[in-house]
Amino acid sequence: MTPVATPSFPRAEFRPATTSPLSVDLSDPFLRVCGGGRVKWRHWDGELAIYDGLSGETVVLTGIAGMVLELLVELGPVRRSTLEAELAHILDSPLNEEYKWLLQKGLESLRDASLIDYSGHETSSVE
Amino acid sequence: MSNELHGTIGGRHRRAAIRTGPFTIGIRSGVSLFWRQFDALYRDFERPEADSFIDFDVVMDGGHQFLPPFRRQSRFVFDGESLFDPLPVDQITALFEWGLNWCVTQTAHRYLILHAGVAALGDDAILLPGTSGSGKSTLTTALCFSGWRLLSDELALIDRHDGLVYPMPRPLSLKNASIDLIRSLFPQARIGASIWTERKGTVALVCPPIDSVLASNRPARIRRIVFPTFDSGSVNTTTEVSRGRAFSRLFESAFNYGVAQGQDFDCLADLVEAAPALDLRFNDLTSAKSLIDDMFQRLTCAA
Repeated sequence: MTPVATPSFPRAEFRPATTSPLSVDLSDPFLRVCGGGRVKWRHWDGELAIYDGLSGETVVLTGIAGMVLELLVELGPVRRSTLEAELAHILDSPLNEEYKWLLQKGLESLRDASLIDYSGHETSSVE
Repeated sequence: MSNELHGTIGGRHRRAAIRTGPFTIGIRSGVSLFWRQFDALYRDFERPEADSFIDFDVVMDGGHQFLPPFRRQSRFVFDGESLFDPLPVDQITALFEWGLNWCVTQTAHRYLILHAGVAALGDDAILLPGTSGSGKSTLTTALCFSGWRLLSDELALIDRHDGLVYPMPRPLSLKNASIDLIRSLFPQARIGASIWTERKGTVALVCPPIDSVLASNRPARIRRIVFPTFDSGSVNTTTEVSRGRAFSRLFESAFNYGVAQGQDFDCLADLVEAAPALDLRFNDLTSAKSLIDDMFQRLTCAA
């Protein structure tokens, strides 16, 4: 078998996020609820039932995902840092590593269910 | 080849139509055993005119196998098609009920259909979802011979538009030990012959109470969801079920979720928001029934 060379991304093109106004800052991504009328959901005390009108799938998520989704609906599009601050306010304590890990898992669940998207800057958000 | 039948048992074909809830069922059969049992079980049901619109056109066919052991067999024919493997002719009435369940779940998509027993006090209904063997039919039977109204022991028909559950009272299907239990607790119950089936063990059909049959056009609102589990080794216990968990379990019990896309999601979500759910593990039918009676008594007082 002959190895196939795949193009690699030129390292020189990487720019640290803080050095350019056009950078994509994924350390503090911009979060927003998406899906429009395609997605339906109900949130009950930490349980989130979701229906995706495109795929026809129904899932029930437990844990922090429902709380995060409700906050995002309430706050509108926000940076993750803002969301963390709001969660800390609700929990009445700074977010420790465990909470941050849970938040990350919740955000991933919501993204996998096509309920939110997150990107480095506001204008790149998907309508 | 061995599934094929020839001839009829008992002579000429006879026709009948019955109405239960929203459905009219047209039946033809030449099997005299079927008609004896059918007439006893469906004695109180409305018999529509011969020219009525028929929702389900069913033939209960009978004959003998071509090949040894040449047993007498019966089969369920719907809209001209034989849908299931034939069963011994003594199971013909059970086959009719099972086949009719199939017809409803496959075609009545105006409703979101859940695998559940439903009974009502007045217009307040309890939903008893459960798989075969969970005790839902036994509990439903006990309720409907204790002042409750039978809507169904097998299929909950939930209208997607108004969220109401619609009745489809039909003979109740009891299995194994529950047959003698119901016979001893409710001597007034008219229970048909017990037959042995490979799929479910011993089965007997019970005539629904006449009050339930006469009220088969009266829908009800589901107020409580109870997931019954018969467990001979336990005492009666109840545990609250969260709405998300109840939603998941109702989703699993639905025959046609998704047919109406997002409307089905709303229908189930509205249901779990309106009707608190609990698990009921029981080994004593009388106290399980009392527990449900008390639950609805409190509901009525609160209203």
